[in-house]
Amino acid sequence: MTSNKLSRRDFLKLSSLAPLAWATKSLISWLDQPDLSAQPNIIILVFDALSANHLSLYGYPRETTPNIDRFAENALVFHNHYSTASFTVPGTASLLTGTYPWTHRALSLGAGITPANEENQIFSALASSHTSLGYAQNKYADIFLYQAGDYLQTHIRNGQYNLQDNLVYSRPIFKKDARIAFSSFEDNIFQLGLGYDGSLFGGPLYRLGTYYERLRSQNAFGENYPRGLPDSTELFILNDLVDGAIEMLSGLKTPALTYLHFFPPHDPYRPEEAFFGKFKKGWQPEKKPIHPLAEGKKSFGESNSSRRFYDEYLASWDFHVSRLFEYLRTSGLLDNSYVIITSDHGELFERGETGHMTPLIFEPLIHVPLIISSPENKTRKDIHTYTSSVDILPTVARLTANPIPAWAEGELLPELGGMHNSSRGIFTMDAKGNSAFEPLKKISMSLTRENYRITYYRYSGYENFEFYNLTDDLEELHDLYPLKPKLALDMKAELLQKLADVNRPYNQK
Amino acid sequence: MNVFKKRLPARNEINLVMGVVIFAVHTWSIRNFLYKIPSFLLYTTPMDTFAIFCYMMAFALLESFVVTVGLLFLAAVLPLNWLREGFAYKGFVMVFVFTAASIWLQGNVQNQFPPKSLLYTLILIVFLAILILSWLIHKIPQLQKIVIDIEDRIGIMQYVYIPLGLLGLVIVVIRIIL
Repeated sequence: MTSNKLSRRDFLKLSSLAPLAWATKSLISWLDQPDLSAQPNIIILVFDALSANHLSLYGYPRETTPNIDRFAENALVFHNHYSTASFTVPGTASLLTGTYPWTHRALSLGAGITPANEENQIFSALASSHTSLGYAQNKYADIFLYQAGDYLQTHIRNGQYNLQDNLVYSRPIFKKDARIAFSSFEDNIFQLGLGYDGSLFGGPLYRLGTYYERLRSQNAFGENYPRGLPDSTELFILNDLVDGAIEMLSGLKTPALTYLHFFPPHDPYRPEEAFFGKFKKGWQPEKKPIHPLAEGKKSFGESNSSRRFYDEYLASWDFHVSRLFEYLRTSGLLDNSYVIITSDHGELFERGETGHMTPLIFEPLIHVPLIISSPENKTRKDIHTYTSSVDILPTVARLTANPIPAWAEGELLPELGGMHNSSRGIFTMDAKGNSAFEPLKKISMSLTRENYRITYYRYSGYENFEFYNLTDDLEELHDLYPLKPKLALDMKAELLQKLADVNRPYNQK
Repeated sequence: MNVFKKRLPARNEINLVMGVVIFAVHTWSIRNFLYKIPSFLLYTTPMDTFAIFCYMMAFALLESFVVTVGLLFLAAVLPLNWLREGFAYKGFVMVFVFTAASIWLQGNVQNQFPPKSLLYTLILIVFLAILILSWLIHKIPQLQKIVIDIEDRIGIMQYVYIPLGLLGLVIVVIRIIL
């Protein structure tokens, strides 16, 4: 009979196996790790206020973007992509968080994402697999990058590639409190012409100093810009911006998530000499009636001039950005990266408005480009399914084999893991006058589905629905709502239900 | 250093002028803060709004300090009878005229650097206004008394504004460190 007792010799034999067990465990855990070197990069290029309706790629009669068109020849082109909002703050927050404005609550100019959601950004979704780099030339978008905290490893300063770099909130000393520093300094102490400065003596001195610097920059570099140098609160040169983008991309630690948010073609529209006057002749837009809610009350002539300058500025930017595309090609980045070109919102030059600070919701303002170049697909594919800016985050998570965050509200984009859902409704809203902490009461909200759009305007003294058939009436000139077609009533009910749903938690408070 | 100290105005006069500077800078800052509150409340929590107020008060305190030091420097380097003698009312006049010019500049210089002729005219007006008002007050003792009385009363606000500024400064430092 053998004894069950472990002898000293057996114990020593077994002990000798311990290092092997440890080595096996390490080997298994090493094998379990994803091969990060095989992960694609994600490069998101946001061109601020770029309306899809003004891109020749999407059929605009003026040839504004030949280089973007060329880039799209090897990419997925989404024809019905919409922003969730009509200006930078909510539009960018949706891009970065994959949530609608009613969730991230960055509704007004200067607002951040509410504290409960501020780290729910694309950078945290990809933190385990990708290094990250973020740059936003638009100061309002830059605030969100600060809110990403440590999830954003490399944050390039907002003024890095500008001729001026005067904004106080972006000084390294305020890195941990940039959002409040922004509201205090840029939105109060130094207002730079947007009202009285909170600083009695420092304000005017800062103003004079900054304007003097602008004057000097204009004299030194403005020769090529007949309408003045491009201006994002600080002056810059288009060429410098592309140089900066190339510099940022050339130093990437792959696999990388890169978010580059460029100010052009946001207003003021400052085309280069070579493009100034390019669209003076030729196609002219249709005249549209002034909307009762229009705040600008611009005449058709004024809107038309602004549209022309916008198109010429866009053409200038397209010319320069071709160098960035060429760099992506020659550096090999296109072969191992998903390059996503999109915008935070569009631009409007009709119905009495120019720009995007308006309560109105019409196609040119919310229809944004989405062009995605992928490593595996080098032929153009056109996708007409309706998609939303909130879809980018879950799609990117899937493309990088990361779990789709529970907070994300979008769907996977078709051809990149998602289905062609033809009956999907796309919501867009503007509630810049509404408190972020209260139910949405002052609001413009639209629902676009299967080539129809219903828009709800709810303001004191003006409450109305509009309903358009986007197939027969893409210019949205014939409001069908007064006829009360059944589809309009169905979509109205759906929109109001959504509004009630998103307001419920705030009503309960 | 001692020579410089000797050229400084009397302490009670410095206190009076500093009180005016603190009053002007902080009151203007609070006025602007109150004006902006409706827009801040759209997207900031009460704590965040308080933090913005702290930034403003901290900045106002530093600004007041810089302006006061600037006036003292001028008093020390200029011929004694220009500013040091009668610093209490001459300082008041300077703060008053600078405040008016500053508010005018903020309201009228927007979007671009003003023409040089406008700036030169403004500087000339400021200089003349300081000169004339100082001369008038210097010549009329009753006016001097009125100015000193005003400064005395305004000075009380230091006891509110300086603690507010210091509190703001502490909170801002804590926020940017943590």
